Order: sequence, then structure tokens, then C-alpha cells
Amino acid sequence: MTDRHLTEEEIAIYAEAFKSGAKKKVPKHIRNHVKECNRCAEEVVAVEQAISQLDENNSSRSKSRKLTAVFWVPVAAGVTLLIGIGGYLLFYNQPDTSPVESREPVAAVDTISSGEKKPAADTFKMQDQKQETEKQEAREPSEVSSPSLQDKNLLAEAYKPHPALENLSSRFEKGEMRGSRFEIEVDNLIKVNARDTIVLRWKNPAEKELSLEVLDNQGNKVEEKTTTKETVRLKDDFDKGLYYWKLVDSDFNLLFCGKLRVE
Amino acid sequence: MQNISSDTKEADELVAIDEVAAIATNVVKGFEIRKAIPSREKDDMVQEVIRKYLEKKTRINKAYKGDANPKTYLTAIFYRMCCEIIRSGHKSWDHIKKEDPGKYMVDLLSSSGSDNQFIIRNEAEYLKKILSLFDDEKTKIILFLKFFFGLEIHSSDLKAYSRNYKKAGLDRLLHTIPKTNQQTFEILVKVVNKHENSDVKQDAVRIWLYKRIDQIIERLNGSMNRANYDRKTFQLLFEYIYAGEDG
Repeated sequence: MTDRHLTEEEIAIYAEAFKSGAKKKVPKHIRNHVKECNRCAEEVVAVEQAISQLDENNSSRSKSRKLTAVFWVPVAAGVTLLIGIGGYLLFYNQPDTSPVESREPVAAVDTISSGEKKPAADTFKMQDQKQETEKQEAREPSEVSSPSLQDKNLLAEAYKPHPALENLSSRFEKGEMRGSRFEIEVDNLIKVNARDTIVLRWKNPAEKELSLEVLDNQGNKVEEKTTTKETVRLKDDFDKGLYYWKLVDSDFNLLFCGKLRVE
Repeated sequence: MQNISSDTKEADELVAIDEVAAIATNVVKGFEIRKAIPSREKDDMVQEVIRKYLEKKTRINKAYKGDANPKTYLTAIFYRMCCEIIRSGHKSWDHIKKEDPGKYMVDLLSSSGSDNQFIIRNEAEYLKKILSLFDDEKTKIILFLKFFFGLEIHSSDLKAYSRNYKKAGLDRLLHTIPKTNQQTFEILVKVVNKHENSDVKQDAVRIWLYKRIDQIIERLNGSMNRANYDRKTFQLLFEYIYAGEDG
């Protein structure tokens, strides 16, 4: 055994060869050192486990994206067509009701996986769009008719992302924070219409106590619930805007942070 | 001046910063799973690792020769950084203590709960990896431990150790059931001398085997108290993997 410990690169060489089953390619002096040195052996195993985990994360993420895309693209096309026709029939001759453009960039994958997922009955119960428009007209005529510049500015403020929460949510989206392997069954970005029923879903077979917090884009708590179940129905009077929701276990471990866009 | 800018360029190009964060998170997660850090500290730990990386980036990249994948190289760097942070004394998480070591492992290995079975399978995989790192001695260690612990020895174990096991009479020797520890080593020394054509003493084989057992236990436990094996619980884990298994 050599006197010095292996360098990080030597550890990396052995870990890679170990992972791919090509240990014989590792120089003999490195293999002999690892045979005798507990510290370096521990590092080789730890690095091999870490790179395997990283590969696993990357491959499962790309696989789920592929599957989501394959499944939702035809659905998205159909829904877009239906919304297009419905929208034309409903809003033809109506005053301009175009929503304030979002300042937040939305990734293509979100558009496919969450935007078009709305019609799925088990996730969000969509209300009849025509009925909704009629109700809205009756209750808030000023909002439906051309909104003032001030209203538009207020709405734009309501969709302005909260930097820290945005960052947190994005880390969950990238899979960087899914250490607890907690399985969430809704998309990272949920888009709903105001007054839609919002149901959040996850896997909790052990019925652990979980706390759910919904925060607005200023970081203020707007709803809080504790549950041992796998679904939570949120209140249905969210104002238009961007919200974030967090799921925390009884040890205060953050299990998930997602976004909720009420339009 | 030229050198500095070229170093910086090289440093920037090794791994993209978002990948650096992903690698750091992944390494820290490993420590969290091994209970070397509490869950609530993992984000701070990731930040600290990234901070250290940015601070030493030029030096880290300079030391990189290009023989390993840069991501694996950074993983190895971050692993050592985490060890350094934990050992530095700035982070002392006294509440992270293991249960009574012997009892915990005995309970674990004798339980049939699905969570425990998952842990045991992970431990078994870990032990197999540790044994693999003994390289050309791996088959010898497994064969000798099987004999030492009184487990059934299959022809595949013998074949892996010696191609001429039948001719050398190793199968006959290793299918003898020893009554005492001394008899165990009397048989093992005969096996070694026949196979390696040597003349070693019984004590040498005993010392070698005990040294390997202690090394395996130390590696299973790890430097960060990942587990608390002793000879008894190590034997239980070894038997879990190799008792009755052909090969």
C-alpha cells in the first residue's frame, strides 16, 4: 500500500470503473491501495453510490418527461382545439377579456404537462366555462369588461414570482430536492381558473402527519392544513395570482414546494 | 496574468454551475441518508460545499488530469469537503446517535417488516461492494468466511477460488465439519498451502482472516458512524447473503 491516500481523481477513476464493472482497468497500485486502506475504500463506495444515484435521477427525470410528453401532446392538441372553438363561440362579440400577460417564464414541459392537464377529472374539476363566464359577469362586471390600467398593474403584481420560493420550487422541479423520495401526484406548476376546485394529491401510504401551507407571491400564508391523507382540497376563493404550496412532515422536513397559478 | 485568465477559463468549463449544484446536493443527500447530518442542515451543507468549491475552483481544476469524468471527479471532491465540514467541529450534531448497536442490528436482521427488509437489502448490497474492493482476494475471503461461519460451501465458491480444487482435494477439506476454532484454522492453512503452494503457519491464516473481518466491519461502520456492526452482527449479515446461496 502506498503511504499517501488516493487523490480525488484516483477515487473517481476507481468509482467509475467499479460502477461499470470494469475494475480490472484500474491501475494495480490504486486497487492495492484500496484493498488495504479503509478510508479510500469508503470514499470509492460513497462516490460510486453518488454517481449511480445521479444517473438514476437523470434517467428517471428524462423518462418521466418523455412519457408525460408522449401522453399529453395529443391530449393537449385536442384540448387546445376544443378551447379554441369554445372560446370562439363564447367570446365572439364579447368585450376584451384578455388576461394580463404573465411575466413569469413557463417551461415548455410545464405547458404540456400542467396546462393541458386541467381537464383530467381526478386532478381538477373544471367548471363549465360558459356558466363561469356568466357568473363572473353577474358578480364582477368591471373585471370582465376592459380592466383599467391600475387593475392590470395590480394583476401583474399578483403574478410576480417570489424569488426565494421560486428558487425552492424550481429545485423540486429539477429533482434536486427530492431527497425524501416523496411522491407528489400533481405537476410542479398547477394552472387553474379562479373558483375552480383545487385538489392536491400525493402518496402517503404510511399516513404520516403532513402540514400543507399555501403562500401568496409575497410569502404570506393564505391557507394552512394538517392531514394524514393523500389528498387535500383547497378553499375555492383564491384571488387571481401566483401562489406557492409547501408540504412539510412532522419533523419539519420540507417534502415539496410547488406553484399554483390562479387565472 | 495570462495564466490566471486561462486557469479561470478552464475552471469555468469543467462543469456547468447548475450541474455543480446538482452534484453537491446529491453528495450531501448521501450523508443525510447515512444520518451523518440532520435533514434540516442539508441545505446549509449544500451551500457550504458550493461556497468552498467556488473559493477553490481554480486549484480544483488545476489538479484535474482528465482521466476521470469531471462530474465524478467533483463528486469525489465534494465528498471530501463534506467530511471536512462535518469533522471541522463547527457542525456538531450530538443528537445523531445510533441505537444500541448490537440490539439494533439483531432486531433488524430478525425482523420481517418491509422497511427493515429494505434496509437489510441495502446493507447486503453495501457488504457485497465492500467485498468487491478486496479485488483478487474477494473469492478467498468469501470462501474462508463461509467455512469459518459454518455455512454450506458450493462448488462455485471452490471454483472461484481455485480451478483445480478437485485435484488439490480442497472440496474434501472444506466439506469437513470442524469442531473447534483450532480445527477450522488447521483446515484453512492446509487449503492455503495446497492452493498457493506455500508453507504458511496456522497463525498467519488466523491473523489474515481476523484482520480482514475487522477491516470489513470498519468499512461497514464507516468513518461517520454509518452503522454499528460488531463481529456477531457482521456474521448475521454475511449469513443473510451467503447462507444457502449458490455462489
